[in-house]
Amino acid sequence: MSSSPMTEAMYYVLLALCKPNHGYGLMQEIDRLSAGRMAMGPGTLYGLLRRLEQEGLITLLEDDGRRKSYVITETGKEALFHEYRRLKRLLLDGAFLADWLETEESP
Amino acid sequence: MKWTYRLHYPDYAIGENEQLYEQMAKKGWQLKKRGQILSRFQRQSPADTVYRIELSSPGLFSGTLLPEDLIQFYEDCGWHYVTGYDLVHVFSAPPDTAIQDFYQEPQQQAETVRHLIRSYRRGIMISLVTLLLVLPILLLGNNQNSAAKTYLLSPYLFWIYGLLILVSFWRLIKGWVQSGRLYRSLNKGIALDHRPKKRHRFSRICYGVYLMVLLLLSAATALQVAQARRHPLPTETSEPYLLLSELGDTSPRTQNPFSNDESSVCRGHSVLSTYWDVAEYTSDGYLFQEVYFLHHPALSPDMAPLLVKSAVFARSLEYWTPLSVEGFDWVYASNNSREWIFKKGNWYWYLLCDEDTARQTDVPAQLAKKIHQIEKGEEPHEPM
Repeated sequence: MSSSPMTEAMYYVLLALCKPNHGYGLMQEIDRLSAGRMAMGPGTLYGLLRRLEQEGLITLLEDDGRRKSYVITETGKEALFHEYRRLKRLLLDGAFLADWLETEESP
Repeated sequence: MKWTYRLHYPDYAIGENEQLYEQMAKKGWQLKKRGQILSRFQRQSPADTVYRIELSSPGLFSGTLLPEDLIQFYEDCGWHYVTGYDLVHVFSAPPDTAIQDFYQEPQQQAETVRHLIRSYRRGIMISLVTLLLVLPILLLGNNQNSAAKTYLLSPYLFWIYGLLILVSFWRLIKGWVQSGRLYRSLNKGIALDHRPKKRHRFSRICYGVYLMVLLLLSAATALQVAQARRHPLPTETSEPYLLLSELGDTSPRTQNPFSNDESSVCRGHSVLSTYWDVAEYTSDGYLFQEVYFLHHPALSPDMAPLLVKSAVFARSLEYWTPLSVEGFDWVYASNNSREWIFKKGNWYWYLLCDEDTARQTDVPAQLAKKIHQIEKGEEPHEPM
């Protein structure tokens, strides 16, 4: 797994697949997790799932022919934790911006 | 139930095809089936419908169907799978709903176009290999002769073949270039235009004309093949070929001892020639003849070498000697004295008979006599 930053779409898919889910359920879960901020079309999501599966970050849990359920793998979890830590560090590094923002936004 | 058909856009014109289906739905024609060239629509009440095309991405030898789970996924999202042909698969949805479009990132859609580019490239390679394999077979050795003869008898077949190769090749090249352009534009982040302004009118008219010409040529070929059936050989004829009885062989007709074929004649007509292919068998002899009347000698192959090369025995020019026979422009006889080639105006004859008939009868003189008789009184089938 490369240590380059994940795309936002990848991050949310891995996040949503901490619990097993299939295509449409996954879309709804991503919508819920991002509070509607992350809109992902079925074509985009399907392509992403295939890529993540090829990279070993998620695995196929169930396939009844019509629907495929996926879940995150240990490698996927590692990548997700790595990304989470990276984002958290970025946030902490820029924590002083919160004070600036408060000052700028105050009337 | 009313149906109508429309010529759809090529596979790479995704937005144009989507728009065509939307416009048809608005006019009350719902898409039911997409074929290779045409799309079929069923009469229904006019409706605003959104159409989206998804390209399947098969591996080299897998099918072109969309995966079942992908279709189910799209349907779960509110899209309805309508039809698909080859790599192009069409979904529809009612408008103004919260249904998500397939792609938000053009780069991701670009991935699906890669397979389209690959399929065009593969088509070009297959066409080139086929052409490289077929052309030598067609143009080398004795096949060249057969090809020239087929051209003379069924020129439409050649035109169909030529048109098919040229237009298919052109469309494959154009598809390859255009899908490559689409791929690069999507990869740059430019979203697919679902309502393109370009109508490709000229190329659609040209393609329509091409299809019509192809259809007409095919019909003409079918008609020509149907007309050129073999018939039992008559016992008397005023057509421009000889019968064994006219060469003094009055023995009863039999069958070809090898193939059991009856004595027969096949008269055919093409835009380039009218021809007779005659085979006669009696208990004492046989006679094979090919007679050609060229309607357009300038457009026809050179007949002398053609008839020499397709002769049964003397297949090389060195086996032939010129004869002087009154009534013909030129006559050649083979060294075995059983084969002759004649020319008179736009008429050509090739004759082959058994040894006894050739020895006992002056075949060229008999043919000259018969032609003279036809010219004098009896009605020939073509002007002589």
